[in-house]
Amino acid sequence: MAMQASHDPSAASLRLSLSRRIFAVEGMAILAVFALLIAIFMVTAPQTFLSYRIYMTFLANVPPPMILALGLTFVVVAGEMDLSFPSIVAFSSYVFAILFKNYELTWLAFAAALIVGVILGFVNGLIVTQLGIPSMITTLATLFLYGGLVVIVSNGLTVAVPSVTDTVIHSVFAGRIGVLPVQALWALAVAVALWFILNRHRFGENVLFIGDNARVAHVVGIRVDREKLKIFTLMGLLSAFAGILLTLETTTYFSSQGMGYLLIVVASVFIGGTSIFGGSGTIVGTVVGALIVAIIEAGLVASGVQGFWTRFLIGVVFLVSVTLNMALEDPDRVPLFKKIRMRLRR
Amino acid sequence: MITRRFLLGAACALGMTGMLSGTALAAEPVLTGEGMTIYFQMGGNSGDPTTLARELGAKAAADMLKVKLINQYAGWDQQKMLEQANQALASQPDAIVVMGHSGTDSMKRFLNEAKEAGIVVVTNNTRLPGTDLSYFGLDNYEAGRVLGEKMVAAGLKKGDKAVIYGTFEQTAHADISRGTIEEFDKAGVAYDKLQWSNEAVQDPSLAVPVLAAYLESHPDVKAIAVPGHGGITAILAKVLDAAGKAPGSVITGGYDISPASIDGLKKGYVTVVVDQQPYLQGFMPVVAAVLQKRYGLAGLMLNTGGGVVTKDNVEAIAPLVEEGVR
Repeated sequence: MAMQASHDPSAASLRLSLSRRIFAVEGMAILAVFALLIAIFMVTAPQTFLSYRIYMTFLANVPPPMILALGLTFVVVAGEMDLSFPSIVAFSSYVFAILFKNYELTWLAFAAALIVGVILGFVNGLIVTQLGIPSMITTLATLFLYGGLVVIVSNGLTVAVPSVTDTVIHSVFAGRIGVLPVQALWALAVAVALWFILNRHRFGENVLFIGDNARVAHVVGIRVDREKLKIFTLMGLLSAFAGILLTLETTTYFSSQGMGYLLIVVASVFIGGTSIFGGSGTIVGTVVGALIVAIIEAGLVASGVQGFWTRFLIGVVFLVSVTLNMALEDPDRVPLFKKIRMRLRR
Repeated sequence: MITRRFLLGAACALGMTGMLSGTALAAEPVLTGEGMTIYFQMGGNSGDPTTLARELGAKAAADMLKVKLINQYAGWDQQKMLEQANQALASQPDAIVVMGHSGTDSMKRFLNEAKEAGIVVVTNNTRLPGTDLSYFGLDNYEAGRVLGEKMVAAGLKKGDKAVIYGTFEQTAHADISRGTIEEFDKAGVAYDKLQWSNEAVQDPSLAVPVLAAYLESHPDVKAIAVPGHGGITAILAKVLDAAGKAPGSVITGGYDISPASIDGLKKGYVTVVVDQQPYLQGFMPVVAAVLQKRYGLAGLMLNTGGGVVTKDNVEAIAPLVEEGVR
């Protein structure tokens, strides 16, 4: 019966449309890729991936880059780019760490660090909207500018704050509920809030519109400059929050903090399926993209891949993940698959 | 070749010369670098755990000898180091202190042009083999060997398994790994080699899941060696904690002390850290450059490290780490 069913064209088309409908749900395709990766690693490294501990390690370390990637998704959806976030992470981390170390401030240090992030993000937005410099160039410049400034202000010193683990703020943002790192819940909360803003709020609607066509958005009455200012300010705020979470987890500020995140955060956004051209983006995709980026190296290492092969295979897995994501959403989005399908039809 | 003892004596004498200048006891002429400009490659980023002490040492010597010091930072990118050496050359300073990560072959043109221009070149941190330049830094191979030796002495036995998380390319930095590997081979310790990523080098927290995953999948591993990265050494405690390992259950050894590695040593997560005393790598090249420029004294050498920090001496060193001197 099953074989008969498989030859029934109507059943086949029904199955195709069902799978298309499933993968049309936001993030389902990339979630399937993620599940596939986890399944592969469970087979190749069962001792690691069948134990809860490695997932807790991911949940402790992924939130900062994930929150950065969520903020960057908004920026990219609006057709812009922000490369300055590593320096904002460093700046905010420094402000938090030094205020805690010198004055034993916790919540005030937290607020001050967030305010610094907001200001730096706002300045990015001002430069982009008022000087008309493309955001890629603006934020590349401020990556150096803010990064240089924090080294000047901090005199280049590393600030270790081991006693922060005894504070309430550490328990609230980087503590553990049982074995679950609290920062994972904060990252989830940020993701949920941003999903609602992007998909259910006027601001998100405006961001999508601007990314699709800024000129038309302006014509229909959207105050494009004001909305862009908000986007960069939001990115600054989230960068500061990510910096605080990172400092609370590592209990140290150092001047190159955040720099290692630059490429992996950008990769998380695009692996998640957000369009590089703006106008469309997916919060769920970015969340899963950040998880994929985080598990690949650890998974390969646990599977026994060593030396230079690790880096090579990370590249392979990136490419396969992005291709699979597109193919599952719509096979025709991958030109090679489209050609093959058309040839098979002939 | 001038011995280490002689050089330390020379440095002390220079300090005393500075203190005594203006008194009847002062010898004439007083050694000074007044009017000299020195470009100095600091290696990493300003203030990072492996760079700060070098910066402070160079500044102290420059202040003492009245030298104008211009620092260059490369984030440990050897291509950038090469570019910065050429940029320094274009400014025609009196001396340039370079790091040897790029290797002698790639530095050859720079060295020839500096020689023609009469610019003193001094190396720090990593040697340029085959040159007769003054050098202040570790013997990288020896430092790696000491790391391996101390880890074996801490309890590794024949047939035990270890992981070496480092770089193994054909660079000067890989000499550290080579030293550790040879010592493990000698002791019959089996090991896996894991190459660190560029991202983890910049942001060591990214190495935590990787090493934790490795430990989980290889529960028989008895030791982790990090030959050559202070930042990654600093997160070893986090790695063991993430993998559910108790302090002392895994022998861990690394490189360059920092506040976090001091904390790891105190809590028992970190077993041994090789200390290359980067303050000396900052201080001595400035002194050597002035000596060479003023009196033609060249070919000085000093192995700045070789010592290790363990739980036995960590308390004495911790305050100096806080100050950024160690």
